[in-house]
Amino acid sequence: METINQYQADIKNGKLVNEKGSFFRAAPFEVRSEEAVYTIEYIKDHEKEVVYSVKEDGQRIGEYEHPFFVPNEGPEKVIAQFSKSSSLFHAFVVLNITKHKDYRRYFESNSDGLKYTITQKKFL
Amino acid sequence: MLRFYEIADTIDQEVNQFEEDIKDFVAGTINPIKFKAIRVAHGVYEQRQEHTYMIRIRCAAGGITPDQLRKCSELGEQYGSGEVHFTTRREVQLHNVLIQDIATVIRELLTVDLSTRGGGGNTIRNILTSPNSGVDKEDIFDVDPYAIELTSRMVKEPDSWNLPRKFKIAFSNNSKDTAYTQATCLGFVATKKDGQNGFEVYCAGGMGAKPMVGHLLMDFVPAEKAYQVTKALKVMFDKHGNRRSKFSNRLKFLWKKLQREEFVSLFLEEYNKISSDKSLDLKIVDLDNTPKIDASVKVETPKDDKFDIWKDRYCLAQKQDGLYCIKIPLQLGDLVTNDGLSLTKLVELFGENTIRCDRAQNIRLRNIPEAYLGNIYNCVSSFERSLVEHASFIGNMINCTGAQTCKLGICLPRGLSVAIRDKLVSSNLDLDRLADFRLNMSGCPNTCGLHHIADLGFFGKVARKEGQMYPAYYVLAGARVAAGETKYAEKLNEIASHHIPNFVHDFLQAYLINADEYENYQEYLEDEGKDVIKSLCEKYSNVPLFRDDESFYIDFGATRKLSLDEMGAAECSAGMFDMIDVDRKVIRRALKEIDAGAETAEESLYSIAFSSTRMLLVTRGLDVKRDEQAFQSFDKHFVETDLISKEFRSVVQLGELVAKGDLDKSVLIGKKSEIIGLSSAVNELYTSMDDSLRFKKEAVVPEAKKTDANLIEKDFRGVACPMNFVKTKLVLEMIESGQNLQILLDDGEPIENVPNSIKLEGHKILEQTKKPDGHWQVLIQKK
Ligand code: HEM
Ligand code: SF4
Repeated sequence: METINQYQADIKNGKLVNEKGSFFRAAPFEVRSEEAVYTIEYIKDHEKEVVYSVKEDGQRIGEYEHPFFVPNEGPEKVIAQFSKSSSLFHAFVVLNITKHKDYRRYFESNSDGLKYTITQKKFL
Repeated sequence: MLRFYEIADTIDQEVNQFEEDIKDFVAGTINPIKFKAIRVAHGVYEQRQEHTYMIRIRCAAGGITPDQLRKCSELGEQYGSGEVHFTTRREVQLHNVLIQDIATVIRELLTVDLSTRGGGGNTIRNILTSPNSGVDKEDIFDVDPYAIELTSRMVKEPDSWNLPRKFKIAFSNNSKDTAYTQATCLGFVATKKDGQNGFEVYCAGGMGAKPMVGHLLMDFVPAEKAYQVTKALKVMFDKHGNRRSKFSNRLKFLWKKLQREEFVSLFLEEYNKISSDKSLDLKIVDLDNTPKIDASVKVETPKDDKFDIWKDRYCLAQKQDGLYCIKIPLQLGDLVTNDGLSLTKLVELFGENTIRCDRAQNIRLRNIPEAYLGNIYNCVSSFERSLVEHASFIGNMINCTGAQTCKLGICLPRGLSVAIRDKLVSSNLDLDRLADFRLNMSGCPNTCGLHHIADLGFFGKVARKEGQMYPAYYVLAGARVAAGETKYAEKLNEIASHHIPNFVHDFLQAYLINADEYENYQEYLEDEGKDVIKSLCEKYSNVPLFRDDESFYIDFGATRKLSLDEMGAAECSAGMFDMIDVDRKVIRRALKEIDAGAETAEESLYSIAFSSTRMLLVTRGLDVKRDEQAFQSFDKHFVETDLISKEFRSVVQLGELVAKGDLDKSVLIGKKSEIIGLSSAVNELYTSMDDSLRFKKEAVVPEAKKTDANLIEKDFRGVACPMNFVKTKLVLEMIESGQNLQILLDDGEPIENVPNSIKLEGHKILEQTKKPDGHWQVLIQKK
């Protein structure tokens, strides 16, 4: 198994502090914080539509579709529901996976204290 | 085994290289624009959803054998969207393919001799023919074998993959011109002269946003000379086509620039070199249009009483006695996996030459003996998804994929097509009287949905009410297609998307009431049809306010209000890189010539010097009309600013003197190492350039004229694409984040492309208004 990372980044206090390599949006990656480990894959769902599929600690928690790749409810609701998921959706914003305005705006004022790492293994 | 083309021996090597390029792209070492150029030439397009691809598969003469189609269905199931899509260019596509599967799919296709090479990009595209050629009672002769043999030759010639622009070829089996040769770069229409088979040759036609009808190039050429004609035109296009403007580089623009006399003489110059070389003549192998029935096939009785009406609508007797061709109307061109598998299982019992793609995104079968029509009926009427229960008018409607998958799309013609179908099938219109009516729709001006050759056509546009955007279409009508008499549909009016189903219904109703009084539809249109269209557009001109009816602002088949946010044209930026690439290629070629000890070393050295100085001017928003300007501008913007070392100044100045004719090119011979050094320095600078056109090395400029005015205004009227974009980008580089820039742009391509490309760079378009004299004012906020 190839273990070289294609991309690695640390987020401290909501800011990207350490970035190495080149992130590829359609390859699997991992978001790891003290509370949870998310694995994200760009795959096809059962209707053969391409989605971001997210697992939290090995359990599938959601499939997010084009064009925004975030849940339809706004960030306040989603993050209140699963407080751990801040790091996940923050990573979606940082990595430019979602262009949803509400999520971008939400994290402009709600990212203090966020600390996690993003890792993407070499893909192809 | 029947195959509709041969594949070049180099294909494995090319696919291996492509796979390496895919890996490099994923690893971030090839930029997306370069990767785009590579992948489209392999028939791989990115859908609107990033990193999701469609793969276009060549089907010369629209032909595909049952085993090949089965393979496509299997691959569509395993790696695609669960469908094989039939296109308006008589080929098939797989959709929703992920990047890691692209190379596998291409290799799997090769196992059944299908290739994706040249599916897109600046290549020889799929060669088309009349859909019933070879079985049509009105055949002059079968043109399919010509398309097949020509394809096999063209795919083996490396220059077919690197033309100034895409190059489309078509063959019609008679003067009705059902392959639309006059809407094609190069078209052959079957004819006979003194008993000899030959072609009338048309060229330089094309649709798209600037449609042009093709011109007669030769009134007769012996049929086997179609290769020499194609080769000559290809070579001529390669030499003289415009590679520096992405927007005016198709063959039609070359005709427009040169005009008939010069165009024809340049063509003949090439043609005469090869026309009498018999070894180049096409070697035609006739296709076998006879049935090959497997003895195990039992004749089936139709499963219900709708067989007769189906037969009337969809089956046509061939010129071969007792044989039939059959049309299978698909929903929006999609053949779902199970239908594909059951169809191929049945059809292969009747032989290999049994399937053709058709232009209206349907399937055609051929060589089916009359006794077995029931078997076919039982199969297709059990399809999970098809339109067989409807009049053929419904399946004949053409639409492109539109904004659903296409990055250039404005509207969603797939959704519109479904809405029109729902409206018409629930009406009491006698659609069987409109069996040959062409209702064609495209999601934008590009004409992938063939609206220029429609009886009634639509193409998508953005309309606004009180600043809110809603989906709308232009309405066109009245195309005429026949060899030498083709005329494109005329743009008559515009209408909101949501009114179109009713509009179409009312228009067809009016036509059907009066149709019998006219010789044909054309006459009806001229006499009253156009007025009917205008008055119906008036009747349906009402647009509710956004606050009163939001659904009107959401296109058919969309879930959100019309928005151009994710429209990913990036055409401008790609155009700029294309311009740079022209010079890079010239330099590479000339360096090779010198390495090989070229006799004309001075010419090669001049090319290197000139292209090295011109190459990066576009990144500063500069273009040049005369050679010496390249040297002058380079000196000012690159040498003076220390982006390029001053050690090269003398050689740049020498180049300028040669360009002006003050010195002979031979003086360059003694400067070989400096000239090559200059080209390396330029190339190094280019490699260090980022997406914002900044180089790693800072330019030393006289104190930057940063302006703190809140609004900066620039007039880019009269500045062609993509230079207007580059200039806009450069001004944005100079100003502060949050500051506004107002630019003036021309109508047409500039306004269609620049704001989208600027948006893609992350800036905001605050306002876009059309001024009374036709130009546009665009307000941009820097990111
Ligand atoms: C990713 C999706 C697509 C894009 C971005 C695209 C882009 C374009 C553009 C820019 C043109 C105008 C060309 C010109 O004026 O020079 C064009 C024309 C055309 N396209 Fe597409 N296209 C797409 C998909 C398709 C598909 C799936 C088909 C069917 C195979 C198709 C068939 C055509 C046809 C028939 C024309 C008319 C043109 C002519 O020959 O002048 N396109 N397309
Ligand atoms: S006509 Fe426009 S919207 Fe439709 S596929 Fe072509 S480029 Fe896309």
